[in-house]
Amino acid sequence: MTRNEAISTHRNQRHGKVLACFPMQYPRELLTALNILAVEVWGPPDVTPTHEMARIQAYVCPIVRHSMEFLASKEASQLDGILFPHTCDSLQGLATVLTDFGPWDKPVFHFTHPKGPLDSPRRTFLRKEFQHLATQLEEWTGETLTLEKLRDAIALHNHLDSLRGTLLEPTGQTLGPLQYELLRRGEFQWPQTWLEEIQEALAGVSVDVSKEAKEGGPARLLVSGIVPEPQGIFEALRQAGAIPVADDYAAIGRRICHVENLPDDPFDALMARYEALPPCPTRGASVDRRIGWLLERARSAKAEAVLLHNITFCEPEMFDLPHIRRELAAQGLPVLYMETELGGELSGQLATRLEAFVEMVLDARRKG
Amino acid sequence: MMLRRMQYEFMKNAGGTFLTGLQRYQAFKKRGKRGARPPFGPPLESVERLKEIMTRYYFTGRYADGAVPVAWVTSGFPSEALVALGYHLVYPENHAALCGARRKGGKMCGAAEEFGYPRDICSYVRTDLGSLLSKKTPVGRLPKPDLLCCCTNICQTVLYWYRALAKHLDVPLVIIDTPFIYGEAPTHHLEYVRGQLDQFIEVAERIGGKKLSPEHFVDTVKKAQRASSLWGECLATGKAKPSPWSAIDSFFHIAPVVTIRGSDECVDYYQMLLNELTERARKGVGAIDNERHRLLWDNLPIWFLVRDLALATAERGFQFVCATYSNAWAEAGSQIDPSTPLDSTARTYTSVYLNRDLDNRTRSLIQLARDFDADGAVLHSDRSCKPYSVGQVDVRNRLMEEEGIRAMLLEADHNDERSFSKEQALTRLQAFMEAFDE
Repeated sequence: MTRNEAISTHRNQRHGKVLACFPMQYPRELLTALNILAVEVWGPPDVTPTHEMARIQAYVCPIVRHSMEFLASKEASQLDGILFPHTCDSLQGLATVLTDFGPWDKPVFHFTHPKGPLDSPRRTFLRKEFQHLATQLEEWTGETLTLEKLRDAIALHNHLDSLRGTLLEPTGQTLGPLQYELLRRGEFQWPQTWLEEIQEALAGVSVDVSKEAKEGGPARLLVSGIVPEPQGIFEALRQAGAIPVADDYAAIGRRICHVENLPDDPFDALMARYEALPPCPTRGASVDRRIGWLLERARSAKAEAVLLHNITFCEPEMFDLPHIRRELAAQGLPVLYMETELGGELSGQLATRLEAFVEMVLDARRKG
Repeated sequence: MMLRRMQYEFMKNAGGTFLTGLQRYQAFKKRGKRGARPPFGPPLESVERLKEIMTRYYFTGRYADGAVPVAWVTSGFPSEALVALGYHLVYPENHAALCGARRKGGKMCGAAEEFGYPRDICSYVRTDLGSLLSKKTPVGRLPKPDLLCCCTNICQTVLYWYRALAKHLDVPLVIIDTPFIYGEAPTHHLEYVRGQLDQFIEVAERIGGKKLSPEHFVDTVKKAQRASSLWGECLATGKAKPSPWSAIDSFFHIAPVVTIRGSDECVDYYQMLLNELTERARKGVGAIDNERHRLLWDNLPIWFLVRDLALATAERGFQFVCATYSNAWAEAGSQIDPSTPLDSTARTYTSVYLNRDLDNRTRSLIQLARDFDADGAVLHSDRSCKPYSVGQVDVRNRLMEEEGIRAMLLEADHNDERSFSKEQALTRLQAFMEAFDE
């Protein structure tokens, strides 16, 4: 199902509103409970630049520049509103340019993350922020958010995350372009539909990971970054002789937050799921926590190396880079850092760097 | 500790006084040689006092760690409680700007890049981290902090920056998170900031080993407010024609309100500066000889270019009379209410210029241009400062189309001279100025 089909199905069959949601973390459970389809905007990669994109300087992240173009295009007219989580300075800038200088004239909502460790003031704030957004969305949709509806939506997303986690599990299937396509389809699909598709995919064949590494299979990588664009990255990895076995992309693995026993109060449950999120610099997690998380993911997936794949000009990711590189290397995990634009093909230069890196990893494996 | 404290106090008083005396003597000798300096007007007398204050501040800092608690603080951090608790404060942004103005920014950025920080990170950060990693600074030495204090009201970059500092220095980090304001701040956002202030004070007390005296705190808040108000009055003298000083001057004279606000020395300094500026305005003494056009500056200064910029504009009779950057420090101060110090601090520090939506900021910028009768504007499109720069294309268009103010975007970087072509920038500026006389 394409993005446009998902929107059209939602309108015609569920008669709900469609909300464009910006990266990266937002309480999607609230939207589902209020029959709002979340359509995430990670660029998109394939826009044709006009004067709209030129309103944002070239040294700003391409997600923001592409989004500016997209939201000024005809295609954006099928969206009923926008939700801006407070992720970084550039997205914050986009939010205010779009609404204060146009062309966006439909409703805009904001969700502010508490930055830093979730201590008492931050917990209080987060809960109020959930409630504040819920009230605004209720007014917008005319729907009433009952505790039951919210509880059901939270349970659905929690289950979804559990399945997404399984799909990304190192002992399950290795991650290829098809798995990523499925995982990213959730950026616009109605959660129940997405869940069914993931269930179906999980019924597929699994691979014995430890065996594969021993038998000289492809190099096993932990991948981290913002968003896996351009999508050719996975094919390039495959051609280079590597596969992702663990994922910390902000668009994918870094948003999975399954909680075993959800609290009964839905807002407590939202809080619990938020707390279970993997560490991310955009929410102010410490560098050590991030490194600890990456190490744990790499170990449990038996990853042999790490690919840090950033989008150009994405500042939050850049700050952790030297520390991640040093500390993971000290633990025997070589790290390759690469930056890409959103659209187009992966450059030959980057493909060559990937090949050289994978060769080095495989060589190290051979030498034991 | 005791010995270190005695050394600190001695350096603060005797050592600092000796050094500033020496500096005054050197300045006197230099002034004797310098004479007239067209196209600029007579230099501000207060500059010498400014140099004394900043020299003493950095000199004393060399002896601060181990003597008094030391905090490294973002420029927008509500630092009044730290001052009242006797902390010595270091402002890495101010230090980075100083490095930039001395054209050492690029070299220090290079040191951070060698460590692995990418070149697209803000150049203040790279300058500061480069200085830390290379152990090089034009101020001799910065004291090691006991506490890192970061407030996100100026950007989110400071959050990543201070996380990195905490990692390098293994020092506790306090984050005051100020939600960005779209329109009006919801009540729970202000309550959130207020709650963090309480928590921050507890941490600062514990690390500083001292309880915050409410009287002392209020007194510090009053002094900070007074200094900000005086700073605002100083800036307002620029409305006179000719302007008695330039916005470029203000980029340097802003240093005390950033670094030592809350002190008597800061208040006294701005009173002195105000007296001098008022007198110059009364006598019609301008910052440049022949003020023909009045410009507004938007965004951070290009620290390594300020002198060239001042000269290039002054030679053609153009004068920067106001700047959103300098003005931000005056706007905030006036909102602090010493009768409700914590509540008003939360409100004030949340609603600083850069933490407000573009509509709000544009109105403020236009008001500034009107108040100072600016007929042109230079918007520094700063690749190192996204929150300040995103939206400038639209702001420029609005200035031109709705206000009839000629405006240009000047793409540069505030601290890294390597990311910049001086000739290209000055040529663009020349072309912009020529258009005024067509």
